[in-house]
Amino acid sequence: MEVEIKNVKKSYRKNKVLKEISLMIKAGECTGIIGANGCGKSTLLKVLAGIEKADGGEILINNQPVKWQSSQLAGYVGYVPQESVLIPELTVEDNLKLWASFGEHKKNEEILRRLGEQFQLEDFYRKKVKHLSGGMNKRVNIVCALIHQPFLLLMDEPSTSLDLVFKEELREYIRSFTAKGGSVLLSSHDEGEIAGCASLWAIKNGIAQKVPQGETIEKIVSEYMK
Amino acid sequence: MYCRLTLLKLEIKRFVGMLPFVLLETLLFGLIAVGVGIYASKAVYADKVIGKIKAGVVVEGEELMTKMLVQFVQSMDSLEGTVSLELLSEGEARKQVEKGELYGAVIIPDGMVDSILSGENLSPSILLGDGYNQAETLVFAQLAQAGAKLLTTAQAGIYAADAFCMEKGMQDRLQQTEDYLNEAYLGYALGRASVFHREEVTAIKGTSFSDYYGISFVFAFLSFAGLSFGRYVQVKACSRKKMLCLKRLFTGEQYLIETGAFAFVFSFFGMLVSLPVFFILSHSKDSTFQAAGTWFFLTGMWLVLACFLKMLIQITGNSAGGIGVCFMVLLAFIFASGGFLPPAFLPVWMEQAGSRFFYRGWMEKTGMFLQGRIGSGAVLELIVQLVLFLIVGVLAAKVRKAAEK
Repeated sequence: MEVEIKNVKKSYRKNKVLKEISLMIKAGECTGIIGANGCGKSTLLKVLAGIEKADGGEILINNQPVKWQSSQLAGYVGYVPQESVLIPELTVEDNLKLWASFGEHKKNEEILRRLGEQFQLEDFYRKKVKHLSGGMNKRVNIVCALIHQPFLLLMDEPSTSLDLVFKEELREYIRSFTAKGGSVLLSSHDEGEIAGCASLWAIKNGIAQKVPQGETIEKIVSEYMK
Repeated sequence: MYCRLTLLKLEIKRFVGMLPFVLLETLLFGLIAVGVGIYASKAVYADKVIGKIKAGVVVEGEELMTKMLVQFVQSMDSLEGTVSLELLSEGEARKQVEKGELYGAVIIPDGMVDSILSGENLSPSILLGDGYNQAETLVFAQLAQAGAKLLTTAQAGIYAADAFCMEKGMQDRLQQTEDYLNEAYLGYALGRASVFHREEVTAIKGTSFSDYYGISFVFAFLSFAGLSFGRYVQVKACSRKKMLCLKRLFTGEQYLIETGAFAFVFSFFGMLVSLPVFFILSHSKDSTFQAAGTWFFLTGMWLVLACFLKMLIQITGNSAGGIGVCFMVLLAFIFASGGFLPPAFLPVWMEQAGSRFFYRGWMEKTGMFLQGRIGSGAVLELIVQLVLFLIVGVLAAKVRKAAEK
């Protein structure tokens, strides 16, 4: 499934964060969004996830318009925000149970079991979230986003606070996810992550522009991320 | 529905897990509250705390009416706990006042009653020692004036009778009428000491002081416990809440689920704390509590209190500043409603303000349930309050979410 967003606008009071964002997320590809701090990367992901309401623009999935913040869109998208969505006083298992309880919960629990194995969470099920390391917390957040099997995974700086081993595992997971036809849109400052993206979009002054293929990391950093 | 039940179950689990921390924090809040309460009491009453006033009465001469007046004042039950009057000679009174054994003494001059009746108005002298404070002096002065006022009122009656006789041309009957009225008025007035016999001051209608303080202690303790829970309440529209909205679990529902879980755990905690306190109190000599099935209505009371606290936290927020505001608001509510001092002893303006706060009504209803009484009106009132707090809480959650955008 291909996702296309056209002329997305978003302002916070008088601050126009996204002026006119248009970009394409191809099926089976990992697309990256880059830009300086505060350029609107997270806002764009929030708008796509439905957490924030777009002021204008449209989203097309396989060339079909989909309503912003609709349950249809929510069904397609899995979102891993920067801040944790977990309840710190509860165990990992309890948190996962909560996110599995939406929709077909029996089926979700089965998916959860598989994801738990894949992300090696079994040993942490009984642990309270507030006692998890940052990396483990992120893993659980990713699993929460994957429970309802989205085809578009939105990740806001996913490798923040992850150790090298898990960063590599995450990249591997993204590769396998896209290999199965899923799409990933991630915002990042991590060079390794950026290098792993099939296409890159840079946001500057509220407008997205495609980064030409074959640009060196040094040029990307100097031109688009400062 | 399954997701709502799951969230409710998990929220209950979360609040139960917090109980040990909440208890510790409540004790801390309690200590602060007691300190503030004592300070506030002192601020309101300064050094007006009344001890038992020991005063002397010196009656010069052998006037019967004066002695009757002193006996009348001594026989007033409402003064019994506050004042002890002792008939002394002037020399003895002066000595005891100097030694500080008496707060003061009233010296009633010979023929004072007659002088008041005749319009001459001989005043009693008042001796005051150094060991008195403001309130005690006031009470003492009032006492000394009370007798004089009683007789002054009689004098007004007599002047009225004089005027009546003059107007009707019965000047020859003046003396006879005055004598009759003097005798009749004082006879009735002094014989009416029974009027003062049952001027009972109660904190909550029909409860003893120990019952009252038991109820106010439980309310204060649970209110501050609720505040301790506040730190763990999800007030802000965080990413999780927003994502739950995407799953069609909207802000209002989320608020109601969290409040439901909080209220469930809080009411259980409330019963755990309050029942032993009330049970012990019910065995005290002057207790009006009677162990009965109506005690389980307290669960409803704690549910209402929980919803009120949750609403308050939702409005003020649960940051350090928000909890601080909440704490001050609760303290003011509890104080004005008579939680630290019975309403009868509060300044009038505070007493009136307190009667408009929910705590006063809750304390009265709690007293009612503990005495084995249930009024359908009281239960209905609690239900209405519960619904009101939930509605306001939901609105506050929605407003906060909108404001955070």
